[in-house]
Amino acid sequence: MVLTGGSPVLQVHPSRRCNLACGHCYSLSGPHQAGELPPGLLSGVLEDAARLGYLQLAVSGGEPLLYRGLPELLRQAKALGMLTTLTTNGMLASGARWEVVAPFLDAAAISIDGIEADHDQIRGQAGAFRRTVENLESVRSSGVPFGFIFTLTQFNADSLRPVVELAAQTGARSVQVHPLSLQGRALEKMPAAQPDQVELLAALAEARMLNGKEGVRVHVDAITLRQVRAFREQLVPAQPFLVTGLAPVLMVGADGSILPLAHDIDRRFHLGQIHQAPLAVLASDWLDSRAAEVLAQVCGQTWNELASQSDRHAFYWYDEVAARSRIFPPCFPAPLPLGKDLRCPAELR
Amino acid sequence: MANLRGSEKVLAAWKRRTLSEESVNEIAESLQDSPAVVEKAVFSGGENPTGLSLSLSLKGDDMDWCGSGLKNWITWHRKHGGNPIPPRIFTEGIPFPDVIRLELTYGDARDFQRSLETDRFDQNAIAQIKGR
Repeated sequence: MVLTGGSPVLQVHPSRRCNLACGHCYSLSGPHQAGELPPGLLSGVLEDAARLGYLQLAVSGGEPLLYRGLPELLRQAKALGMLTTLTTNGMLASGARWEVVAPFLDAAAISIDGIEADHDQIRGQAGAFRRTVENLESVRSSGVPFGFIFTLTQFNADSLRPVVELAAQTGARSVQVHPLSLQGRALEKMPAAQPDQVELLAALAEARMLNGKEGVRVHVDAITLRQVRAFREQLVPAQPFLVTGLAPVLMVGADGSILPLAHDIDRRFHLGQIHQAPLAVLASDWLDSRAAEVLAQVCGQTWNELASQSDRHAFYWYDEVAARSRIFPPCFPAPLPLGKDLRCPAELR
Repeated sequence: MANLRGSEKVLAAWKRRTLSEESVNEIAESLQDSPAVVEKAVFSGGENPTGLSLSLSLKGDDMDWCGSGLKNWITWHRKHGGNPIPPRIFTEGIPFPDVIRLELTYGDARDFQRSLETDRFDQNAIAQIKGR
């Protein structure tokens, strides 16, 4: 079990502009978001990331097919030897817009959030499902391997089966089940929809049943208590002196901020802004700072807490780390001796 | 349905599943490899069967297969769903059984279960009448 599939991933969100304003969108993307990261700036980030050991570029958004610099970004990543992936709602994945990016893509992840009615409801647009499904043929015929991303809520574990069936019918190779995080628009639009323990376990059980059905691989971004206990070395950074060891997922937000592991990781753990300094410099400073060291400790603490659970049995690891990063330790960034208990001394509270 | 948990809908759909050709073939394949004798097989649900009840018997050294039969039954239900009725095991001969009978139902065979209960009621009634 490796959380990033074995390759450190640079996840870039070049813009929050999107043709949709989905109810579950963690980044509040939508048609009225105008700003985007300058392609020249991202080019430098990409070079530094490749040198730091990031082997995969994952572009998301917003809708990445609306980002004008996308073909060049993907082309450069390929030239640097990185794998390239794209997460899209699929509604624009056709014609010239798709043809210019397809040659530089190793894989595409297309969001399908259940049966047609549920998908359209979550997207806030009637006909969204039909249009995405119509475009799957052009994606398939372009030769780009693709899979689906399915957002698991409290109410839709039963939709996983029809989504896997749709994947089999349309040539999608995988279905990735991503538990809803209560961030961004989801906080307002879907406050009661974050899947609880029972729903995570139901999704894991369904995925296990459906995995491999008609050649479709099904994966849930959740781990069981048994996996937590068995795979400490994959969850807790063993090489805190490497940025890829501490942050196997490194994100570049649409505002230029660079953050490790999860969108809602506490700001104290951010590496900085790409407008301020090159990624290589930010990464080096970060590794020298207390932030990197404490983040490793937060991962360790998260593991300790989860591994000793007896009443919870499934977890979305990055949500768990992010939650602890925000509440713990309250005195950070005050100096903390390495290896000491992270609880804040009473006098510093 | 919108406010129901996804897991509740998964379970409801799981229980509603009817037998498919594939799932019946799997039962047949598991029996091909077994030493059990099929004494009785009853489909439930009429034209579109929802369940299958099997009565198997095992003798002598073949009785060890009983555990494998139960394992196959669990594996089948995990994959195909249904409304499982716990398997029933009857032994003839104590302390060393000569025959083990295994009653396994696959899918939703509650009709069959009800008929068994009716039989048992009838037998009890007959026994009472005889006793009288």
